[in-house]
Amino acid sequence: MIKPIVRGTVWIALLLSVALGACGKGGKKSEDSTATPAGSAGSAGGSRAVTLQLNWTPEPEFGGFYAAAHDHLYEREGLAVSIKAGGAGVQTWKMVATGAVPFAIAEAGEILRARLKDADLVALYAVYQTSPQALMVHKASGVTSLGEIFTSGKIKRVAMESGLPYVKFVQKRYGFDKVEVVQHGGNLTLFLNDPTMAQQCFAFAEPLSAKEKGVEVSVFSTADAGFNPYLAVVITSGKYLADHRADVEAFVRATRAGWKAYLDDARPTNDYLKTQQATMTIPAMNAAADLQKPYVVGDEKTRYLGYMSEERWKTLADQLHELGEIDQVPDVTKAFVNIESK
Amino acid sequence: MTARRVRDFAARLVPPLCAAVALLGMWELWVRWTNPPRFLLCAPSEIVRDAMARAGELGAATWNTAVAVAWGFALSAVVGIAVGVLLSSSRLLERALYPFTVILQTVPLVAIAPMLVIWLRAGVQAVSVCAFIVSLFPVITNTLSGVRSIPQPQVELFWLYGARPWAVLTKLKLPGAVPSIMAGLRIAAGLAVIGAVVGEFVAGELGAERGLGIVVVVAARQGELPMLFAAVALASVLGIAMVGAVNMAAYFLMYRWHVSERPD
Amino acid sequence: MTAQASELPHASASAIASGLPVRIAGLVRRFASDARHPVEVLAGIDLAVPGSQFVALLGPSGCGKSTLLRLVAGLDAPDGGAVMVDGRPLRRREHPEALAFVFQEAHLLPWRTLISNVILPLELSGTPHGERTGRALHMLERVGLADARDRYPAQLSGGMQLRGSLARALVTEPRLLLLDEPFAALDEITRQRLDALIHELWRERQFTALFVTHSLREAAFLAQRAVMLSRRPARIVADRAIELSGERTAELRGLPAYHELVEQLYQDLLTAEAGA
Repeated sequence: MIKPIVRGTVWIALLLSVALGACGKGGKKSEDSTATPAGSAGSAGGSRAVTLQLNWTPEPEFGGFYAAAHDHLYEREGLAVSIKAGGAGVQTWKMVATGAVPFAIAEAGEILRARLKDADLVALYAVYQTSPQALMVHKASGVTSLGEIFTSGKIKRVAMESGLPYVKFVQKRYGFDKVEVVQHGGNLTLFLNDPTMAQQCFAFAEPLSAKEKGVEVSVFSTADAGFNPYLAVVITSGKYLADHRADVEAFVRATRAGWKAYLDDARPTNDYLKTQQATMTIPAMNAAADLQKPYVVGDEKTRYLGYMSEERWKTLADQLHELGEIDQVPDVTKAFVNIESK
Repeated sequence: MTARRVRDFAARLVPPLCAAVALLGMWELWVRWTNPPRFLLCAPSEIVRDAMARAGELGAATWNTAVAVAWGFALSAVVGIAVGVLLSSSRLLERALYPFTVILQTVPLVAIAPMLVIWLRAGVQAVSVCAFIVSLFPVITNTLSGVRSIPQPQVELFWLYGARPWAVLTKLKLPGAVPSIMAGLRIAAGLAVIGAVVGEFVAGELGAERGLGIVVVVAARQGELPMLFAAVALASVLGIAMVGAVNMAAYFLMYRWHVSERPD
Repeated sequence: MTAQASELPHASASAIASGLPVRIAGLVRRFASDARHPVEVLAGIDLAVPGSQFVALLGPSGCGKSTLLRLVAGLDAPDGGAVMVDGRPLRRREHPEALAFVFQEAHLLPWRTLISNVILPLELSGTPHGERTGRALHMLERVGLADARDRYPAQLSGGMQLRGSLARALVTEPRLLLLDEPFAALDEITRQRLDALIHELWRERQFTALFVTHSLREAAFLAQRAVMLSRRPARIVADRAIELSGERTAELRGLPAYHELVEQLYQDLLTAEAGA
C-alpha cells in the first residue's frame, strides 16, 4: 500500500503551497542589509517614493493619510507617497517585516504578537487613541449589550475577521457556543438582510452605511468592554527606521499635519477618497469623519495626535498574555517610537 | 496477510520513510543553523512541540474537518454513482448532461464558497458542500466509464433472460463497475479533503466548528508557523486516511475475484 | 438442397419437452459501414429447423454465421424477413428462459462464484428460491464441476469456464440452444471432450441446437444437419443431412464414413468460398 504514502507526500507539498499562499501576501524572505524596500529608489535631493499599505479599503479611518497626500504635505517633506488599499485578510505586518513595503497600517495587538515572532516592527503613529472596534446588530434584534450578542440567543451568526486579537477577547469572555462565527469578507449584504446577525465594524463607519441602506443598528464597542488597543497604527521595520530615520520622521510629521487638516475639514479629502475606490458614500464619509473625531483626538493623556503611551502598550501586552495570544510579556518600549512634530 | 506480503509492504515503506526522516533532519539542521525569524520559518521539532501543546485544539479542528470531509465524500459517492449510472443508461442523456459535470469540475471553489454561506450554516454544513463540489466529478466519470466497460455479451446475457432494469442495475451494472468506481472514489477521497480545507478558508466557522482550514488562516495571521504546518500535516494525514479507507473497502469488495487486489 | 426434416433422433415416450422449431424466412441484414453503401451481410436466408434438430452453421470467416445466430436470438433485428420460434414471431416470446445462448467466451460474471453464476438465469427468470441451488448443482455435476462450485471465475481454467457457461446455459432447461463457436479457443483434446458433453446433453434433453463453428470435424461429429453459408452477401449454398449414427462416440472419429463426411463438407466450404 505505498500509494497513500506517496500521495501523502504530494499532498503535503500541495497543501503547503496553499498554506504558503495564504500566508504570504507579498511576503519576500527577510534578507539582510542588501534588500531595499519596494519603492525607495529616489535620488538624493529629489522626492523619495515610498508606499503606505493600508489594512482595509479606503475610508475615513485613513482620512489623514489621504489628506496629506492630496494636500501635498508629504511632498513638502520630500516624500512621494503612494497609498495602497487593502482589504479583509491582507497581512500588512508581514509585508513590512519582510521589507516588501516601508510603511503600513496595523493593529497594536498584531504588532506585539508579530514582534514576538521575530518580526522587526516599530509603531510610529496611532490614529485611534480609542479603539473604534465594535460589533453591530439590527436595532430590531433587541440586543442591549456586547455580551448579549453571544449569550442571549437572539443572535445566530456573527461575522468577524479571523485572527484579529479582539476576536480572542470576546471569545474568552463570552464564549462562542451559542453563535455561529463566520468569516468577515468585507461585504455587508449578508448582515443587511439578516436581523439575527452581528457584524464586525468600526463604530462610526459601517453603521452609517447600514443606515443609508435602511437598517437601523445598535453598536457595541470592545473598548467599552475593556479591550482598547491602539488601532490604525503606522508601522515600519526597525531596519528601515535605522536606515532612513529622516524620511520616517518626515513621514510622521506630514501624517500628523494631514490628520490635523482632516479633522479641520474632511470634505475635500472625502471627495478625493471617493476617487480612490472608497466604497462608502460621500455623505456617509463626511458623517463618519465627524463621528470619529473623539476617537482620534483622545483625552488629556494624549499629548499630541498619534501619541502612544507605554502604559497603554503595557496594558495591552498583559491582556494579550492573559488571553493566550502571546506566551510572554515583552518589553513594550521597543515596540514603538513617538516622533514629535517640531 | 502472508509473511511475504508483510515483507513487500515493509520494503515499499522503508525507502520513503528514510527519505522523509532525512529531509526532516536536514530541515531541522538548516533552521538551527540559519536561525530565521520565527514568522518566516520554523523547525520540525517546533512543529511537534507546539502541536503537542495544543493537541486539544488541533484534535477538535481535525475532527470538524474530518466530519465535513466524510459528509462531502459520502454525498459525492452516492450522488456521483447515481448520476454516473443514470448517464450510462442513455447516450442522449449523457450528451445533454455531461458538459455540466465538466463545468462543475472547473468551477473555482473560492468563488462559490462565499455564496454557500448565504444559504447554509458556515462551518461543517457549508464546508461539506465544498468538499462535495470538488470531489463529485471523478466519481461520475469513473462510474460512467465503469458501466460502459461492461462487456457487451454480459449485457446481452441479461437481456436474453428478460431481466428487469432493477436486476440489471444491481446484478450487473453496479458490480461490474465496482473496480472503476473504486478508482474514482480513491481520487474523490483526496479531493474531498482539499475541498474541505480550501472551503474552510472562506466558509469556515471560527467557533465550535473550527476546522483545519481556519487554523491555517489564523496561524498565518498570527505568524504561528508551527501551528500552520501542524494543521497542514494533519490535513495530509486526513487525506491519507481517507484514501486508505477507500483502499481497504476496495480490497474487501474485490480481493476474491479481481486481478488488482490479488497478492502477486 | 432440401432439409432432411425426417432425420430426428428417436423421441422418447417420456414427458421431456421437445425442442422448439425455428423458422427463418427471407432474412436480410445490412450493416452501414463508413461508406455510403451499406454492406449486405445476409442476402435472404430461408431455413426451417424442426424441433430437437441439431444444426451446424458453417461458412467462410466473416460470412455472417454469428450474425444469423444473433438474429435468431433476438440480439439483433433484421432488415428484412422474419424469425419465428415455435410458430411465434421473436418479439412475442413469453418464456425467455426457453432460449439460451452460449457465447464465444464464457463471460461468467467475475464477482460471482461458479455456482452463483449458474444460478443467475434462474434468478433473472423468477425461479422459486428453493429450487435454485438444487438445479444449479445438478447442472454443475452434469458438466463435472461440482467440486469447483465455490470458486471464482478467475480461479478456473478456460475449459472449466466454458463448461461453467454451458451449465449456466442449460440450467433453465432451454428448448432452443444457440452456440456461437464456444470452443474455438480450446485445445483439441478439451474441445473433443466438450463436444462429447454437448452431444450427451442434447441426447438427454432434446433441445433444438444451432451451433456455429469453423471446425468441419466438430460439425460432423455433433450435428444432424450441416448448413453452409456463402461469403458475403451470404446465402445458403449447402444444406446437408448427416447420415451418421444417432449416438456419437469417440470411435466415430475413426470411421471412414466420418472422414468422407468431413471431405464433403470441405467441398461445400470451397463452394461457399467461391461465392454463391
